[in-house]
Amino acid sequence: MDLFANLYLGMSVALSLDNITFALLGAFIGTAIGVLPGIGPVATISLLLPITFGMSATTAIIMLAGIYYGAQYGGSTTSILLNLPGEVSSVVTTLEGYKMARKGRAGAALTIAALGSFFAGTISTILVAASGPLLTSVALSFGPADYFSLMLLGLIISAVLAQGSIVKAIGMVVLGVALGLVGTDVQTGQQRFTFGVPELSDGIGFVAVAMGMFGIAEIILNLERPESRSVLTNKVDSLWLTREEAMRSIAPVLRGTTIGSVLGILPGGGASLAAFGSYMLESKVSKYRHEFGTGAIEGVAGPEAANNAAAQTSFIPLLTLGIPANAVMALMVGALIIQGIQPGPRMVEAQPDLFWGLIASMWVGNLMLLVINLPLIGMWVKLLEVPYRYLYPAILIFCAIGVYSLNNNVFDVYLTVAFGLFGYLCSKLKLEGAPLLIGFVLGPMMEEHLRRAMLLSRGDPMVFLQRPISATLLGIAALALLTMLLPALRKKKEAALAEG
Amino acid sequence: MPGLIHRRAFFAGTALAVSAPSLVRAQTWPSGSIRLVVPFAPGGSTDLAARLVADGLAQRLGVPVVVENRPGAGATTGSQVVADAAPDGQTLVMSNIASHAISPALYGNRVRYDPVRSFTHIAMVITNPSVWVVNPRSEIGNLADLVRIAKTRRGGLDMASSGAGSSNHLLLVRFSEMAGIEHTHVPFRGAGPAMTAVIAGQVPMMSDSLPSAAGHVRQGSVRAIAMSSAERHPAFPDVPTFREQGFDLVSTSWFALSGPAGLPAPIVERLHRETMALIATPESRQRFAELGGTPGDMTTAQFSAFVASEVASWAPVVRSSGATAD
Amino acid sequence: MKINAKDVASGALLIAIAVAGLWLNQDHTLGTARRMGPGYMPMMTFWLQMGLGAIVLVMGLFNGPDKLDRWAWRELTLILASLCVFALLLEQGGLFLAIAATVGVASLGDRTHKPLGVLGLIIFLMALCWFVFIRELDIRVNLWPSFF
Repeated sequence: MDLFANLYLGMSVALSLDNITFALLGAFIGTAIGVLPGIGPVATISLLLPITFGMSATTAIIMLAGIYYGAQYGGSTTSILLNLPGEVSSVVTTLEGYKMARKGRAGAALTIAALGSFFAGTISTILVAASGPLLTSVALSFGPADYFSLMLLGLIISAVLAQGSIVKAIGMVVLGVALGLVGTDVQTGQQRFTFGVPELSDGIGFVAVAMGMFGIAEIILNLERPESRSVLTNKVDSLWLTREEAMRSIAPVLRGTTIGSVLGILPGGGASLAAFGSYMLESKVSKYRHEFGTGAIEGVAGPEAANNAAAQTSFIPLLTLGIPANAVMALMVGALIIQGIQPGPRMVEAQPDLFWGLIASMWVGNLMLLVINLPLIGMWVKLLEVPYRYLYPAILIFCAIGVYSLNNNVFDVYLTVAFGLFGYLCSKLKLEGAPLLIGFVLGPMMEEHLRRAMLLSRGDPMVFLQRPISATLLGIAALALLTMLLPALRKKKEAALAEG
Repeated sequence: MPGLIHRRAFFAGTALAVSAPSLVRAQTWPSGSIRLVVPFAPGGSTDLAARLVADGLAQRLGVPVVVENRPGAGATTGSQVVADAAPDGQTLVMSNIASHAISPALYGNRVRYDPVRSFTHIAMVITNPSVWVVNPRSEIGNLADLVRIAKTRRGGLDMASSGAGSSNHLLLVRFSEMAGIEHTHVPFRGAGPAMTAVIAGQVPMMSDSLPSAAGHVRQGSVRAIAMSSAERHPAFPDVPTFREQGFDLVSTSWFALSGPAGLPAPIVERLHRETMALIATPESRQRFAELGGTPGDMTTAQFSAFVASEVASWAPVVRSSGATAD
Repeated sequence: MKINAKDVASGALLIAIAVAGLWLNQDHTLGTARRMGPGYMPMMTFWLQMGLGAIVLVMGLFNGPDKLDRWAWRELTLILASLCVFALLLEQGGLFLAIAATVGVASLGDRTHKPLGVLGLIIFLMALCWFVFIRELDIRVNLWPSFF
């Protein structure tokens, strides 16, 4: 079969000494920068870009891809250990992962994150290899109306991320959408809610919000209750997964891989939904759903697998259409163009060794990540044994430098301070941060797709029901809203009756 | 591979090129590393061009040239940083059509710098035209078709661009006024998503910069119907210009090298010479050609006059486009 | 009637932000459903938020009791202040001074700190940050004060 011949070609490219060295190097650099809060793959890749001028195109793209998925993985490490999410998908990892760390199971959480990611990476790499060109039509079949409905569905189910009241969670989602409105309106170029501050004209930075509401607020809360942080530092159990934990993780990893692979194909923001789509699913279907919110391993295994699967399949629109799904991929396109290669439909025939070499190196890169990270888990967990009074100033400094380096601007540090205060206020009112962050990320995309859909339909809202994809997604959204609200209402009623 | 072990050299590439710090400042320029501010986020075409320039200048000047991304407010945030910097040749900006022609009109008095007088304009690096592309299955074969079809639809034709207030958007506005047609502008967040929509057939056409569209045109995933250069572009001799099709429109987007106002003449002269030599090498020419760009060939005086003419010609277009930042 | 003070305050917070947002949104044109102006989406968002805030507030009047928590003002102020100090000092004072001052202020937030421990931590973090951010990542920032 062609597939095997192609994969053989790919492996022979990916396993050459040069390429394997640079895949390892990329994965290592990616992990290192992923662990540092604020410093993302975009900044690192652009820093490394001039160096790739001198490499072969294949080697260059293999190294850059290694950085990309290394950073995806590294981000989950700080989320689990320190409640510091550097990107959207890591926000989901904090929910159960940080709770697991507080229960003394940081090692298990990190291990399942690594194993789940590797498994998902393997499956989705095969998927990309086997059906990449076919799946292109999926990416192209999503119009603005369909994306709007997908985002709406995402926002509605994100309320499930909350452990407490559903209404408060939806309130936080909407507040997140509102925060996302700050900045320049894409359609008219008008400034909204910027108070004349030039730094706000490109919107509030995600990292500042996430670091403030999660990382900084958590530091203040930990300092406030000295008894709770001793739990964090004193009780570190075995690093390895227990048999029970391993068994519990299998189904979530499989489901997460499926969700992530599908959503990753969509270039209009699908990948950002992968992790919490999986979390939502697990919190509904898992046998252990009552443990969610207290450190359930399903809540780490599923989203981590989904996230990594999406990271792999988001290469499909890049390789087959030349369309980058995010800023990191835009940089990779830039690196290729400088080498005289335009990614797109003809790349498979014109540069088969590049195309199949990259695909094979995705899997090799995932293997490298496992090799790099499994031995490091012990070291990371040791970090938690550092007395908290030494740990928190270090976290503060790393956050501050990381946030500053995003735009080389101290304004982002002040923004982090403001969201630290707001995050503290929210935790005192039992308002949860995760739904807000999801709203913050999806809101602007939803507005963009909504306005574009209405523009193209000349103001006819029926377009959302006429398109089959959109109508289906809206149906699921309505169903999700009902199933969420009904139990809550019933509980209220029962409580009222019991009281009466 | 010993280079891999020492990662500073690996990361910054040129950062170790100079080790002895200079005690004398004004006489021995350049002293220490030069900041090249890019007023856009990493990954865009300006950023790519800047990294090519930084790499070449570092080799020629023997000091590290470090790209610093300062995105925001239509490229005015980063430009402001350089306008405010000391004119010692250590801080430069990748000036461009957004920061030095369109945004000052778009953002009005919230831009504190004067695109001409607050800067010393050193060298034009790349110019490139806009290209209009349609879906390959589209019935639109040229601008006359486009005008004819636009007149039959309510609200005119849907026309995509990489964003409101971009030079590509403003070209749509100028064309529609000239042809007397209505159009519905469909802005996207960057050229990539807009190109996706054209390939998928969600939007019939798009006005794009040649560098980001070139590869798609070559591969046939979209069809080019008009180029906004004065003459036919050497890399795309089959694509007719606007002028050939009866519309007197020429629109060129550009990236250039500028510094703060009052830069000493010897520094300007050296930078101009090195930049010109850099973009003239066959290697650079080939890379620019891949990006669909033409290396600049202006003297510093011509370039300064060019910026002034750009500012004057874009302001009325920005006003009539309805795009505004306030 | 058992008041849930947290929910009442949450509802009030959501309503207050929504009202402020709607007031600010008066500057933006609403447009039509076909060609939505910059003010369309904010208007819908803030009205929805106000409605949700009202529901949270009203429900909070009955689903208590849950009192407001006390705030750890000292820790809150010191941690946020330490980050502000960092932002103030970084560009003029350089990375080393910013680290020293930030760690100094932040360490007051934990009463178990001893001066020698703080000093050691500052020196350690200076070395670590120099290695990670300056040597390896080459971040563009001054190391030493530049106001002399």
